[in-house]
Amino acid sequence: MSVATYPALVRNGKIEPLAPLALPEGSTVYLIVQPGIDKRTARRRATGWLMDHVGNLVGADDGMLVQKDNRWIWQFNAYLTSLSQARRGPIGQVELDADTGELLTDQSTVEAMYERGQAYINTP
Amino acid sequence: MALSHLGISRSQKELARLLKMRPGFGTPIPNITNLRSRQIDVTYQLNGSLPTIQRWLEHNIPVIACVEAGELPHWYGVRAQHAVLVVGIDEQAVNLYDPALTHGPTHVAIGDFLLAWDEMENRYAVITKQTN
Repeated sequence: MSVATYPALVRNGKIEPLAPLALPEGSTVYLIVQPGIDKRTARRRATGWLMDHVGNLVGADDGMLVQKDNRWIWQFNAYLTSLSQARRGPIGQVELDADTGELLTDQSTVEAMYERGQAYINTP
Repeated sequence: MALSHLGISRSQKELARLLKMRPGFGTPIPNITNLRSRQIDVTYQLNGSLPTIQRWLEHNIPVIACVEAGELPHWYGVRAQHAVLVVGIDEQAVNLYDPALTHGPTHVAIGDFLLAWDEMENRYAVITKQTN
């Protein structure tokens, strides 16, 4: 079986290919819907949130796209980074709505990260 | 480094207290505005650009830029968040002081600097003397 990819847009509830398509009758079509926020943008936003709310040495990993309660979420593990030693963690997670980019974290996330991170810091 | 450029001296201990530094975590970056005083003003912004930096440099004000160290060639791929003090830009390079190095300034190709800075959403801060 060969698989080909064709970009398309959804307009008014209909899928419109960007270029004319002539697929064989009976073709099986798989739909992959890209999130509104790409992974790199989401990671930068997650790292930015960590730097602004937890500490400038706390960063996000590569992350993954997961589905929660019918909502697509970018999920990133948070790590303590250092120029002199390997990153430590995860000390918590940062989540973003993959369509809107809305950060789904609050002050309790910050406190939990301090608590978990301290355990790594106290361990030689 | 940025303070000493203004001729202002603060001990590491005092800075750590003002910035509410936590060992291992660093400090939430907006805390840099805690340095504001009668003597000092602090600007902290996202989405800076090279022309933004250039404008500050034209006033002889160095710019603190948040960077992903791994994108700077002299860190050989060590992935960690870091901050550097930009003191000049020419046609090919950004000249910066890296507080983790004992020498400087370090010349970093503009493309490498932009990659490192972009990872941190082009966050930057400047410390200036109060004018009044």
